[in-house]
Formats: sequence, C-alpha cells, structure tokens
Amino acid sequence: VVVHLPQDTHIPERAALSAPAQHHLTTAISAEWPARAAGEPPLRPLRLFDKPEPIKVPLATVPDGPPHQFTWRRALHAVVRVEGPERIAMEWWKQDGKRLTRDYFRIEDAEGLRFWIFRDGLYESELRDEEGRPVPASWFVHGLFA
Amino acid sequence: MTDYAEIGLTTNFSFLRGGSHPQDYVHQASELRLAAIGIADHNTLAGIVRAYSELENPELRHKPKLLVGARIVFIDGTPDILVYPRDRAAYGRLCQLLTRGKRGTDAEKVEKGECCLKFSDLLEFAEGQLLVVVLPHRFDADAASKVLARLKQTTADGVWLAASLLYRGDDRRRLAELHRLALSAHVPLLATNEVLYHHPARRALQDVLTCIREKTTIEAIGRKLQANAERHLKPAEEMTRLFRDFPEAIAETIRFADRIHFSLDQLKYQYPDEPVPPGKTAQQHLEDLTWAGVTQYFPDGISEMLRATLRKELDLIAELKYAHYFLTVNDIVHYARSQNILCQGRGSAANSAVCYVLGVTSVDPTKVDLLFERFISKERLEPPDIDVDFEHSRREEVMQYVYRRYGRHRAAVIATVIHYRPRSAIRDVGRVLGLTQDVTAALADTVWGSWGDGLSEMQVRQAGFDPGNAMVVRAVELATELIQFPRHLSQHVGGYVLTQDRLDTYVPIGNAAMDDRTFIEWDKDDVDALHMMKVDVLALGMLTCIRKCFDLIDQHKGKRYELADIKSEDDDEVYQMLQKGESLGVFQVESRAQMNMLPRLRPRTFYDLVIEVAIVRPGPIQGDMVHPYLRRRNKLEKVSYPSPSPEHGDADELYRVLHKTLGVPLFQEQAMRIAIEAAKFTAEEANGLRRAMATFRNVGTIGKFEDKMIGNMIARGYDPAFAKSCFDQIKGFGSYGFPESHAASFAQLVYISSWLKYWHPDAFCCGLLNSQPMGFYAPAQIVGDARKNGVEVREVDVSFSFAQNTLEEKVGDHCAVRLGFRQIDGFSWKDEDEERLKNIQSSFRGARSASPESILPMVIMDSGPASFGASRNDGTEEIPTPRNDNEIQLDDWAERIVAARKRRPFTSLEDFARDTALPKRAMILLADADAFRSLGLDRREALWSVRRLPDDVPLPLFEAATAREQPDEQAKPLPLMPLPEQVVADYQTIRLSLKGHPMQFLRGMFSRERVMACREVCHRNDKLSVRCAGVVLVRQRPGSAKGVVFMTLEDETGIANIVVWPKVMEKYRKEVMGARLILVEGYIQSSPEEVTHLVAQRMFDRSHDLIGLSDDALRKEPVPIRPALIEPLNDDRRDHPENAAQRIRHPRNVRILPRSRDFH
Repeated sequence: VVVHLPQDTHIPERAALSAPAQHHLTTAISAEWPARAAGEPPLRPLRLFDKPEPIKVPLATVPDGPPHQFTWRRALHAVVRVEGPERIAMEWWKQDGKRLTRDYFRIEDAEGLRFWIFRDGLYESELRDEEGRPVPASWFVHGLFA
Repeated sequence: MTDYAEIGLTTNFSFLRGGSHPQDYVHQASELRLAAIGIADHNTLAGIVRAYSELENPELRHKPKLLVGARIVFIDGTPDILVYPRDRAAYGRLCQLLTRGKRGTDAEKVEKGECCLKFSDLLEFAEGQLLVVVLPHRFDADAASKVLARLKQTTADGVWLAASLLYRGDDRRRLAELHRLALSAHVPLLATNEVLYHHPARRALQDVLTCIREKTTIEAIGRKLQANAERHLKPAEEMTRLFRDFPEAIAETIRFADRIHFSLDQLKYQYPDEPVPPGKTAQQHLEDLTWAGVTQYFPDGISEMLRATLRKELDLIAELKYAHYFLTVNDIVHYARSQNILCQGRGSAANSAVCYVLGVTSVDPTKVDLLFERFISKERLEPPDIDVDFEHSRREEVMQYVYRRYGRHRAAVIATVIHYRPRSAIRDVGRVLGLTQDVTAALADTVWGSWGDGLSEMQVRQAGFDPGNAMVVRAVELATELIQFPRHLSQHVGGYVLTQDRLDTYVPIGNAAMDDRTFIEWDKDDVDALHMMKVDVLALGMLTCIRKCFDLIDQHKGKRYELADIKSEDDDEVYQMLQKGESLGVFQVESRAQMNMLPRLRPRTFYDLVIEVAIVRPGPIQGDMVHPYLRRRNKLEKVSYPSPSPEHGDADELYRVLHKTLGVPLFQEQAMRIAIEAAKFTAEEANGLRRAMATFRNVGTIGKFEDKMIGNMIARGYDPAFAKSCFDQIKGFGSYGFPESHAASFAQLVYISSWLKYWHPDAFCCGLLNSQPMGFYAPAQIVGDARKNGVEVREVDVSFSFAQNTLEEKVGDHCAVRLGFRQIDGFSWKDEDEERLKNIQSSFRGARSASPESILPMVIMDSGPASFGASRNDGTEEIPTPRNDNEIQLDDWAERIVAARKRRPFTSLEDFARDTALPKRAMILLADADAFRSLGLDRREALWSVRRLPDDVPLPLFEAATAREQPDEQAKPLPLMPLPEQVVADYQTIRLSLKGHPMQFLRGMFSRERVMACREVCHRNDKLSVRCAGVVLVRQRPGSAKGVVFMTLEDETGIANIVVWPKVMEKYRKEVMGARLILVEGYIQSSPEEVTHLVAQRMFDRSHDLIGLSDDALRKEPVPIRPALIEPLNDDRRDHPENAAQRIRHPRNVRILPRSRDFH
C-alpha cells in the first residue's frame, strides 16, 4: 500500500511522491496539495500518467494555441472546449539535461472526455534546430480529468 | 502597428525582487520600441534616476517615455497600488507619502529599510495621482471593488485596474472576472505584464533572488518561484496578440502614459538662502567675501595675475550661478574654523583662488597656478564639486551644525547603494544552489579585497574546482550576473543635500540605522544627474592628528599654527627628508610603495608631491605610466610629446595637456583631456566615457568608446601604441581614478605632516599616537621612528602620565614624549572629542529651542590632559578646563588618577589605591603595564602588591576599615623580572616596549643560524642570497600588483622589505598569512635609487620562538612564587588550559605581539 505525498514543485510529475503507507509520517509532509478555488474547475487531472503519452497533432495555432484535433491511442479526438495554456518551465537547476518548457491545456472532446495535454517546447525560442529553422512540436497527453 | 506602454516595472531596486537594472529596462524598451515604460518599485523611488540618466545614453536609438512612479505595498492587507504622479505637485505628494512610510511618526519610528503604509495614508496623498490597483492571482472581488470605489472618491487623477495574462492556465477566466469588476467599478482595465526582469534569460537569476529573499535553497523553495519565464518586457505586437480579446486594455496603456506630464527634469532645484545676508545677492556677497579674504591672506597685496584669476573665476561663478554653492561651503567651513576644527577642501572647484581666499583650501594658488584652467568647465554642466575633509573625530559636530542650520526637513544625507560584490554574490548564490559552505568559502576566498568584477576561470581553478563542474559553473555565472545588483541602501559617509524648500517633496527620506539621522533614497550620481547641490562633509583622520600636533606645539612651544601658515620652499629640509624615503606616519605617502617611490621621484617642489600622491595608484600603474615618467624625470629618456599629423591640427595640442607631467598622463583630468584633444571627443562623449568607466557593467559600451578613441587617434596620425596605452590608462582610472584636484589637496597635507615630522617630531609622534588607530604603522613603529629622530620617549607611569600621550620638558632639541594611559590595552579613559560631541548632542536634544551657539563655548576646551602636563612642567598652576564634577563618571580611570595626583603626589601603591579608589582590574592593568616605577616598584613587585590589596567591593562591615590595616610586608625581595620577559610583557600590555625589541633576545640563536639583521639586508649587494628574520609589521597586497605581496619585517636593528611573488605565495601562503615572527630566505634586489628588497624564496613561521622567550626565562630562574600566581591576571585574557604542559606557560603568551596590519 502506498500513499501519495504532496511535493512543493511546479513540475506535475514531481508534485506527488509515492511512499509506503506504513512509513508515512504526517509530520514529514513538506508541502500541501494546491487548494482548489471554489467555483473553479480543477487545474490538475484526477489521473496523471506515469509517462506522458505521445499524441499526434496535425495542426495547432502558433505560437501558443491548442490543437483542433489529435490522435491518442489510435483514436481521433475533436477538441471542442479548451482552457490554457498554463506554461510550466522546467527546473533549470536540476541535472537532467536541457528540458523544454511545456504549454498545458485542459481539453474536452466531442464525447465529453477531458484531457490534460501539453506541447513540449516553445515555438519561438525552443523548437528550433541549430540553424534556427523551426522544428515540429511534440504533443503529449499527461492525464485525464474526471 | 499598435503602441504599447509597459506600466509597473519592478527593477532590482525592489531589493531581491526585480531581476534587472533600471538601465536594462531602458535599453530593452528602446530595442522593442515601446512607447513608454513606467518603473514602479516597491515603496521606493531609488532606482528611478538611474533609468532617467540612461535616457541620455547616445546609443539609444529610440527613447521610450519614462513614467515615474512607485508600487505601494501596504501593511494592512490592501492590494498593491501603483502610484504615478501626473505633475510636479503630485510627485511631491508621492515623495511625502513614501517619506511618511519610511520615517514613521515620533511615537513609532520605522526601522531602516522598512516602509509602513496604510490605505488611509495613500488616500491622504492621492491628489493628482494615477492609481493602478494590482490584484494578486486570486482575489476577493468584493474587497477589490470596495478599494476601487474608495479610490474613485478621491481627487486622484484616475483609477485603473491592472490586467495581466501570465500563462497561469486560468488566464482568460481571471481576465473575464477582472473585466466584470472593472465594469461595475467604472474603471478601465490596463494591460500589464507585471514585469520582473527585462529579458527571459534572467529567469534563473530572479529565481535565485527569490530564494535569497526567502532565505532558502533552490531545492526547497518550490512553488514560491514563478512557474515560467514570462515576466519579461514584451513587444507591443505580442502584448496586443495576448490581449486580442481586450484590445482596449492595450490602448489604455497609451492613454495612461499620455496623461502623465511629470518628468524628473522638472525638479527645479533651489539653493538654500541661509548663507546670503538679507538685502544682498549671493554673487555680491561672495565677491565681498572674496576681496575681504584677499586682504586677510595677502596683506601685502596680490599680483595682477592673481587678481585677474580671481576676477575670471568670479565671472564664471556668476555666469553659472554657483555663488550659492560657494557660500554654503564657506558657511560650513567658517563654522568649523570657529570651533577650531581643521578642514581642507578638495575637488575640482576647491583649488580655485576664490576657495583659497575664502579659507576653504590651504593650497596656495600661486604654487599651483596650473590648476585653474580646469576649475569648472562650462561644458561639463555639472554642479561644482567641493568635498571638505574635516577632522575625523570632530566631523560629527559639523554634521550636527548642518542639521541645525538648515533643519531636518531641508537637509539630509544622501544614500550609498550597497552593491553585491564578488564575495557576497558567490556566497549568496552558493547558499541558494546548495553548495556547502566550504565550497562557497573557497570560491569567495579567491577574491582578495572586493573590487573585482567577476570570477575568472583561473580563480575557479585556484580554489581547487574543476571549471567544468556544472554546478560550480552555474554558481559562478549567476554570481557574475548578480554582481553590481543593489543589495540595500545605506547612508553616505558625509554627502548632504540641502534645499530651500521641503526636501521631502523632491525625494523620499528614510531613517538611518543611527539615531536622529535621516537619508534620502538617491546616491551621489543620482543627485548629480538632477543638478542638486551636494556638500560633502568628509572625515579625515590625518586632520585630527595635525590639529592635535598644532595644539601640542601651541601649549609646549608657544606657537600657534594654522594649515595655511605652513609654507613650503622648493627643496627645503622637509623635501630632503622625503627624498630619503623617510615618511613613516606622513599622510598618504607612508605606504611601502610610496616609501619606495619617494627616493626614485625625489620630490623637490609642491607639484612633485602632487604627482607623488597620484602616481602610486592603480590607474597609472595599470596604464604602465609610472616607469616612463620616472625615466623622463631622471633624464634617462627624452621628453617628447606625441602629436597628430600636421594636416590634423596643432602639433602642440598634447603638449598643453601633458607638459606638467613630462608627456606622461598621470591624472584623471589629463586622460579626459586627451580624449577631447587628441581623439576629438565632444564634451558629451567624454562625459559618457567617464560614466562608462565608472560603472563596471557596461562592458559593451566601453568597447565602443575604445574603438572610437583609438580609431580617432590613429586616424589623426597618432602612434597606435600610444593611443592604446592612453586608453588603457583611462580604463585603469575608471574605478580608481585620482584627479589632480584631489591630489593637490592631499599633497598639501602631505607637506604639512612632513613638516611636523621634520620640525616637531615630538609633537608629531604624540599626535599620531593620540589619533590611533590610523595609518599603516603600529604604535611601536611610531615610537621607534621618533626615538630614531632624537625624541626621548618615556614609559607610562602613574605619577606622570595622563590619559593621552603628552609632551614633557625639553631634552636636547625636542620635548620628551610621555606615554599616556590610553596606550594600555583595556584601560578606561575618556576621549575628549567624544565627550564634547556627547555634550553638544545632549544639549541640542535637551534644549532644541535654545540657540546652540550659546551652548557651544562652554564645551569647547583645548586639550585638557596636555595642559596639565604643561602646568606641571613650567611650575605655574593652570586651572584645567572646568569639567562638571558630575560628569566624571566612575569609569574614567585616567581622570581619577590625575585628579588624585593633584591632591597629593602618590608615595606608595597603597596610597595610590586608596586615593584613586580604582577597581582591582585597573590596578592590575597598571601593574602589568609597569606603570608604578616612580613608586619604586617594578612590574613583578607591583603585581605582587596589587594582589594583596582588598577586593573591589568591601563588605559593609569592613567599610570603615579602609584605613591601612595591612602592615608593610617584610618579604624576601622578589627576583627581578628578566629583560626578555619585561619586553614581552610590554608588548602585551602597551603594544610597544621602550626597553628593547623581542628580536634582540633571539639574536644569538638566529646568528648561529646565519640569519642577517634587517639593517644589514638593506646594505647588501644585489642578487646576494641571504636569510633574514623579523616580526611581521605590515602585509600588503595592492590590487594593482598582480598578486604580489609586500611584507615589512622588523627586528632590533630596523626594518626589511620582503617581496613575495605569487608562485612563492602559493606555496607559503600559511606562513605569509599567519606568522608573527617569520624567517625568510631569498635574494637581494636593489634599485639604483638604493631601494632594497629581499625577494622571498623560502619562508618559515618562527612565532613559537617568541613564546619561548618568556618560557625560557621562567625555566632558567627558579620561580619562588607558587603556581597560584601564574594564573591569568587579566580576565579577558583568561583561557583555560586543558593540559598540564600548557598550564605552566603564562597564558598571555598566547598572544605576544599585536597582529600585523594588513592592507589590500
């Protein structure tokens, strides 16, 4: 049995740490779960994937727009409602190499499924090759809302 | 294309919040072609002038409109409100608002650096302001609408609601809510990006600042950081795109900027009227004073040339309307003179003939006529610059006078911006990045001093780190970025701003850490940029010393001197003394480097001294100007003046600039003149160059000036090498520049102190000792030098000494110097200068309404103890300066001894103890210092007797029994304390010994080791290998010497100068830094001018031999005293030895010699 302990970071995958429940001490908690503002939809999905799953995005508005449709697990989803982006820059002091800034969107498709997707990298500054030519962006689903 | 104005910028003057300099924003806004930027720092206007001055930078292709404002952060939970004054009057109200927040009320004083403001305070000063409410990410809409509604009711110029899109995920929803709020409150939305830094690349630094502010590490800080790098200055198109749903909010920024008609150039500065008598204009009054001064200083009349000079200067002063300024300085100087406080002006205008006849400077204009040409230059359009140095110990009196004369609402000290230095930057960044303290300390230690502008790869390597280590590299990068960031504001040492009307309508005023002291938010550059009058009231220790010497000469030799009385003749005895390098204790030229320079330069005239003062400086040294100058001066090189090609103008253009210094630029002014004459810079460009030099940051800017200056000079036919070296020199001057005008004033004091040293070595020694701590040398060297010059120095003695060192009757040519109680470490005595100041302050506080002048004469006194000395010597009974008996607090031991001695001379130690009623600690100190010899007791006997005295506080029952009850002890006489031990004890108690030098007792041992005496070293041939040992007096590592360390060693024969090259330093760092007594092996290096150095090759720490001195003595003679007597005598030296071996050693041996004096 594991419990999830809140961590004080902006990075979604690091925001929770799973720990064995028997070793879990309430006093050891270093942070609190972000409070949900009354009357507002949740900012973080109920289910967060261990690894973000790549999706195919044929078209998105440059520089910071959401996709109009995307393919996830071989199914095509048409985007009908969007909120975002929420821009999260990676922790520059970490040793895990140069990671890109993400733009997260909360998305609802035509069937009412709600996704948390992100584009890895900023068009203007990060998604460029060595000669400064634009390179295509990668998109991911990072979680599902209830 | 749409226009956009970014409102509400946070600069790094919102300490530890903003990630960019105000100047950075100006440049970035110009780059992005923003219509306007509005700086708004947290409760301060401190950074605003920087931005304003930067607009003058000729490189700006587009000048954004600068809106002046502040972000008011409240203590009562009100959301932040940006306040931008519409006009001059509203600006005054903003300053007053901030002043209220910073000063607090009489009842509740606000701490330095804090600002306490409530919403009600803002309402009071809201008239004419443009108010922008900035809500936090999540806000209470009801509370916000109440704030907006309340603001709408004020006489403010308008109210806005800030709207921002910061990529927080719920941006649009929040914006819609703000829109609803704005609609219901009838206020427009104003787009802003809530900017924290000028460029996204500053995100990491801004994160680090946040960590420093929150006192935590980057790993631990978590969501207190910004989630992304969006808080930078964005171009209009991007902001328009972001606000595409609310284009009105973008358009509103331009309407907002257009409403503001205030700019800092509207601060029309007015000089205070005080110094001008009613019915006269300032110019008239100044001219009257000038001609009155002429008759006073030149009773025999003046030459036509001087008259013409005065006329010319007065005309220029009239034209530039500077009369008020001169009168204000004169007023302060006049006050100081009336209080017998010495002072001396310096600075560009201070060496004018007008200042001489006003008595502001004592630099005789007939001696340095050449200085006038650059008196005040019209094109510089800066206020004239007169700094006045006052006696160090009495400057506070002058400062109090300024407050009294102009009032606290019109006079305040300017600020000094404390910046991050390499050391502090790496320490803070290292802590944030989680580097351990030893790593950070090692990196910080690679920076000697604190004036470098970055850590080089070499320094990282030196600290023992791999420059490829990512964390260290990042720390160094961030620290380099952080250097020059303002850290906090502090009060300037003595720069005052004076105004005619309320100062708090010009600039916010805050409390200083010191009681009763206030300072403004701007520093000297800011004040200069706004053409406000600044008077520098500075402190100079040497003036205190000179005044003390003058007082002593007056009392003991019956002649009263003033600064201006001391006239020099070319090549007189005083110059001859200096030519031999004998300058110990002399102002400015007593350092090792200066002492070496003196025999090479051989100063013969006053102007030579001006050069001497300026030449041993980083500027000329880095510009490699010293050796060419010396070669030309010693006729080893032909004096030539570089000239342009004939078609490019006058061949003599540089002769005029450089002929005084034989064609070699040595002064800051000359470097600037070269830029103007040879590189044809306009005055504005030259000024820009000077400014670029003064700030480390604008590296790019300096490069441009460099290309331009060297290019222009080469194009005009100058030798490229010469052009390059000129520029290098200017670069050297940038941070360490020494202008001729300051050098001239200093040279005057060099001459006066040398004159005292030559003609009155007794008074000079005494005055120097009474002014300690000051200068390079310790009391032991000052006394040694005086004895060498034929002055008899006598030890501290309870029957003859006073608190201060004093002069006694003449022995040979000079009076004998009697050491005073102040020489005894830990002895309690009162400093009369401090006492006088306390009296002035308390009388001023106690009776603010009473005229201060009526109080002052009472507390003025001449040197009290010295006059006691006089009375005793010439037999006449002189009443000492009356001191209110109540004022003699019990802790002035020296005063008690003197008072008791006047009642009746001491005959025995017991009498002494009863008459003075000194605490036991004082008795022990006196015995320890061997001060009972006149009572027939040497140190050991006195200590023995003191031990027998009853304790400090007698039990009540025995109070009546203070009458002698202990019979004279008929004990076996104690064995005499051996000389080595006496000498060591002397050094421990009074830091010098008149009985001998510790080295003389070690000479036998060192001779066996074939170690040479210091004096011999000075007379050895070049290149000879020698060994030499001595006590380390001074260690010096001048910033300009590229890591070379200079050490001065002393033994009983004299001193030796050691040079330690960096290679050797690396190896013997521990010895160099730690040894009190050091043995040096090396070879002699002597120059043709007979300056001899010992170049170190190997070094040995021999400090333990010093400890052996008294140990041996103890061992040689069986000590009749039981161990109880060897326990610590002084509480503060008490240490608790852990093992038996240590217990035998006398604890005071732990520190035998005073530490050396180290200078960077």
